[in-house]
Amino acid sequence: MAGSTTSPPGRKTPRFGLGADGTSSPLMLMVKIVGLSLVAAVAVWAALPLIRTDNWWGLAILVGVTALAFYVYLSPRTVPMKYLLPGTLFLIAFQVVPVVYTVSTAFTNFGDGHRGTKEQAITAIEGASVKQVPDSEIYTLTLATDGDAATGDIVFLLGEPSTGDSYVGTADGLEPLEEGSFEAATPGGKITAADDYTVLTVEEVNARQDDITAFSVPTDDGAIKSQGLSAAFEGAPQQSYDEECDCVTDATTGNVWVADDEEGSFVSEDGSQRNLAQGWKVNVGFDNFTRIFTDDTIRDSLLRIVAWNFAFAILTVVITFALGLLVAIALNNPLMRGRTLYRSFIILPYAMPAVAMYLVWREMFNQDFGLVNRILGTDINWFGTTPSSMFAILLIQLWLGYNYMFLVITGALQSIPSDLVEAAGVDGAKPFYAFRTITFPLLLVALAPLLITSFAFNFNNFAAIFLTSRGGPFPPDNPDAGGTDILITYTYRIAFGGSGADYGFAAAVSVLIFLIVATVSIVSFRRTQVLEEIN
Amino acid sequence: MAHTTSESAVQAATGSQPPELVRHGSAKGGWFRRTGFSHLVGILALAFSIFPILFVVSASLNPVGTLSSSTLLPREVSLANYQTLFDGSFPRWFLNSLIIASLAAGISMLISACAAYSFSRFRFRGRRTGLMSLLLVQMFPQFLAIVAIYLIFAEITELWPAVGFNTSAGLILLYLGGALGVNTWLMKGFFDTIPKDLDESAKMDGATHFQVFSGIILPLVAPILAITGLLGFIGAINEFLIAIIFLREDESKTAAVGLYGLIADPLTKNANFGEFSAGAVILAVPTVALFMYLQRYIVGGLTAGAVKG
Amino acid sequence: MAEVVLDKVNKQYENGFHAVKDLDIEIADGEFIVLVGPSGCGKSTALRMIAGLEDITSGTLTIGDRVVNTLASRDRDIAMVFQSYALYPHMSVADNIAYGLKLRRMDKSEIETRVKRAADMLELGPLLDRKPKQLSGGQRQRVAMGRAIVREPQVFLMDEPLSNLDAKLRVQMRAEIAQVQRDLETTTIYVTHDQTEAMTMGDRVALMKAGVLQQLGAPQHLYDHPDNIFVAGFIGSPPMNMALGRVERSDGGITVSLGGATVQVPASVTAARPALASYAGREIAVGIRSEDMEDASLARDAASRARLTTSVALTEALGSEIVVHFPVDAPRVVTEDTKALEEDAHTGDAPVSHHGNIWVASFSPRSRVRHGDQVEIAIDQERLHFFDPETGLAIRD
Repeated sequence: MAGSTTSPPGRKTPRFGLGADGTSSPLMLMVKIVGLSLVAAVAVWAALPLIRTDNWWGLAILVGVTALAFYVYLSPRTVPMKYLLPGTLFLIAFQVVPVVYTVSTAFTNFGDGHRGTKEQAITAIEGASVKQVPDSEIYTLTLATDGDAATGDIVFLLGEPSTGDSYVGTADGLEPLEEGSFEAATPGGKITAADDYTVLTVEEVNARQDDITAFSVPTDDGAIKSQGLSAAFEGAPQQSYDEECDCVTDATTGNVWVADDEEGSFVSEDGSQRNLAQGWKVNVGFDNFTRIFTDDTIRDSLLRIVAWNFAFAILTVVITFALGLLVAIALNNPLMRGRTLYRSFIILPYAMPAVAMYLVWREMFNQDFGLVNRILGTDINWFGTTPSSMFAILLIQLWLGYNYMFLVITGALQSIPSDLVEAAGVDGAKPFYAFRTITFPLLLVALAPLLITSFAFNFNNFAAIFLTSRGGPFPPDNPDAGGTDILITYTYRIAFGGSGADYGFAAAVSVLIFLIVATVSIVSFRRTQVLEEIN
Repeated sequence: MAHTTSESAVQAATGSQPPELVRHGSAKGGWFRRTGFSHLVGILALAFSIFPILFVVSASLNPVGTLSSSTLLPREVSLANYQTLFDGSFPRWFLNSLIIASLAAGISMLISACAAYSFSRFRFRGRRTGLMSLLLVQMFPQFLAIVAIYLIFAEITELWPAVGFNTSAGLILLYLGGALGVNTWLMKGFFDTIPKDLDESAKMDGATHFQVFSGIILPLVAPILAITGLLGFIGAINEFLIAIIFLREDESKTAAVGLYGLIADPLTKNANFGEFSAGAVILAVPTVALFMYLQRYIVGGLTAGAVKG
Repeated sequence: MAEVVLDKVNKQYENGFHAVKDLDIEIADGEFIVLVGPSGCGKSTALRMIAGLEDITSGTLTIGDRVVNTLASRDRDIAMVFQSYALYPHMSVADNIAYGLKLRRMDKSEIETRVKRAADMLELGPLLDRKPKQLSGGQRQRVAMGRAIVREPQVFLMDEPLSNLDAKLRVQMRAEIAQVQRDLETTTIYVTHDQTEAMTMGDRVALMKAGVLQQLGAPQHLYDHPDNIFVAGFIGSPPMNMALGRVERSDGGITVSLGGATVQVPASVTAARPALASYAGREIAVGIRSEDMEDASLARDAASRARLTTSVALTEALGSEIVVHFPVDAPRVVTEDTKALEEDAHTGDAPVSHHGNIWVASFSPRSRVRHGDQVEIAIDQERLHFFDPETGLAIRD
């Protein structure tokens, strides 16, 4: 972005430096110096890991961004940019990049079983099929990670009792550990600590169980796999990849799986076996999107979800607005005493932490111990049937949302010129008629953008569903799509749910949600002409 | 007129003497027609509003501490649940919540105020495009990209554990990504109502662009700053979807994530309900206090936001 | 104090609009100059360029001995009073006045002295602790003035500072501003669309139209010797009466026929304007100010005056004079200038008739003419103005 055209022209001689934009007070100069020093310090700190991991692209971006920051804050000609840069950088890093990433993921089969490259898939398949062969070496094993315990790569710290040597096994292979960089009970015994690695506690091992089971250290003869928590063996793979036929063959059974580069899977040659679980990430084009509209189960449940999603968002707006309006009108009575007191209590739910209150409401609707059943003397399983679940959700939404509408409507009511209503009264209009023909339309005009925003927010109100019904109840035949699921909770379940992550498909649904919300918002904002305010 | 600023707009909206808009009856009408109806609606609304709050407060004071024994009004009062709560991880979670919410809200308020100043006061190439893209980007809520964010942060955790998973700093950075989109439009609308003459006058008086921003504009938009700050704070305290994926270690959890965990397990949630309620009550304290304190501004700010879009 | 020189200054916006064209003005040290013209004539743009609020597209702007084209406002040592006053709503009157001094990190005691001095001068003493919101329009105006004078700048810039005041206050503030300026002897550039302010306040007046300077000179000079129809029509209230006439050569002299009437142009006038003769047999725009016409029954040396006979359409008795509106049967003058004037009149408050050509004369209060009367009007031929009907330029030589 270039310099402004209507802001005052630059200095007599446009210079470059701390005071180039006219900053002259010592305090502000100090602030600038400290600020830029911080930027430089952070850049250096951020650069070290990038250099260590040979991440040259990352380093180039980092250097570029830092240089840009220095240029913007030292040049006199980039005044608008000085105010926009921090927000823009955050926006790009944590909003735009994830969005772009999401959109690109939507065109892949990325997910459990399709995470890495084909080579990684082959290594994993071969490693996973390693079987212990007689008289193979048994190592003492210590489970550790390279880096953080929760997210770092799994490594095996191995001791070889027969020789007294110690090794570290990574996905790249086996390497001897340097003398003195680790602690072991006996030579070749169990390693208790190592300099560059984090030894996992029992809880941490449990958390990473799946990763550990899938992990193997490739060796010349095959691979090393864990056997329990403190032993590992070297074995030979039962399934091996043959480049000739581009297929995987099982040595014991003789089954053959041929690589399908379209699907990113090894497919059983004669159809007698299931595809191998381990595949690789490929571009699948619009498959995820066509799946949404062609797969019968998905399409049917998705149609139901979209319908309820709209109903949920629209009804939430309508009922909160209606009740808010009623209360606002009732309390907007100048003859009434104690209005401030009423108002303070009525809006209290708006200030309460919504997450906690959703959970409180969920428990109030609990079938066995819930307050609602106890007060009503009923034994309804509120979240057990779809209609009662919807009712409960909407009631909760009403409670959380009407007070906000009440606040906003009260404000808007008071900003409508009273002479308009009075004029209608003089013209002989009855109060309700005057309200219907004058006050209400004016309110709608004033609040339309807010109602649209409220709709857009509720359309993706994850917490409202996830914390109450969790999307349930679930039909027995389709545990992925519940009766009160909205798109965002459905997406979440696809991505992070129990039955295996399907990031590609989840991303495709995300894009679909975005298209829906964007269309609705743009169309309705157009109609309220808020866009014309850009000038 | 130079004084036609947000200040007067806010005051107009919060004015203590609202015009009589809707008359529910003439002075000759009965008590019910004059104020009875208002009181009736008021009382019903009030009851609806506070009964869940009453329930959670009394559950928090219930010495048995189970959901099944909790009632609307406490039968017995004890602080046992609070005791248990404070012996556990809650103080840590609560502190995390306060730190994350106040820093995220405060910094994002500043960031969007800066951006709004830029969009409102300068004319530069790309301004229109920038505003339009903000509108568009803001329609793609951050958590729709949750999968991508998860994968990106897995990478970040590898490289810079200090701002990776299970850190407050990482979560704050992530929240700041949404700062521009959320409030810039609202604030720009407010900035636009401040006459440009004031800027120019200050420039003639010798102010730099930053002095105009800090000395003239910011003091005049203080109410809207307070509101966006408060709404941001409440939003961050309540943020759940990203936090629950981001914060797995007990130490690093926010109160919302931690409390959710207390009653997530169907087997233990009945027993933990008292402790959970106590946590909910304490978590409500800062937001309710802030809300009451800033109530005067909030009404005006929300309305102005509504009118301005 | 300093002189301000605009040398071929231009302002052209990115959308191509040429707001100020080749503006040349030399303003002497301590002079009070008024930039006047209809809205959109570029006077405010010119002022904002001097202020540093608009870029100068081309040309040179000098304040004192410095070329300030690319200098930021704050470095030009100027102060400005805005039409809206632009008082900072969140600051007290004292802080408003002191703001510019504080930004320059002046001594606290020096600031106090200066604020007090300015407040005394403008009688703002009791108001110093108030917020702008609590002030009346006139008081706000004074604070805006105070904010400018406390800086003791080289140049004052004023952008229609009185247009938000009611008529009475405007007259009073007009005098006050003029007084302050004379006391301080600070070079002042004052923008207004009100020709009365221009006439009463300025040492010199610069009249602009569509970005072009029309005439620059002392107010009375512009009034008496307008360079073109636009100046003639803009300066003076009521505006100069105009009609198309025909120049005829008659024995020994020149006559101008105005509709049915024929006016003999005195020899002194033709001698001063030899070019007039070349218009013989052609149309010409004739102008006459309202005070140069009189009820023929009351006029001095009425016998030698040219006469118009007409019926009175409207009279306005002002006490000191009677303003008489009457139709003349000569066609109206229509040029670019008159169109511009008419456009301005629609936004301003000068009366414009669309029905025929109505003239306005000021009669002595002793005149008894009333609406509908037939009246004979004596015209002072010495005071006739002549313009080329095509170019609108005054015929001088």
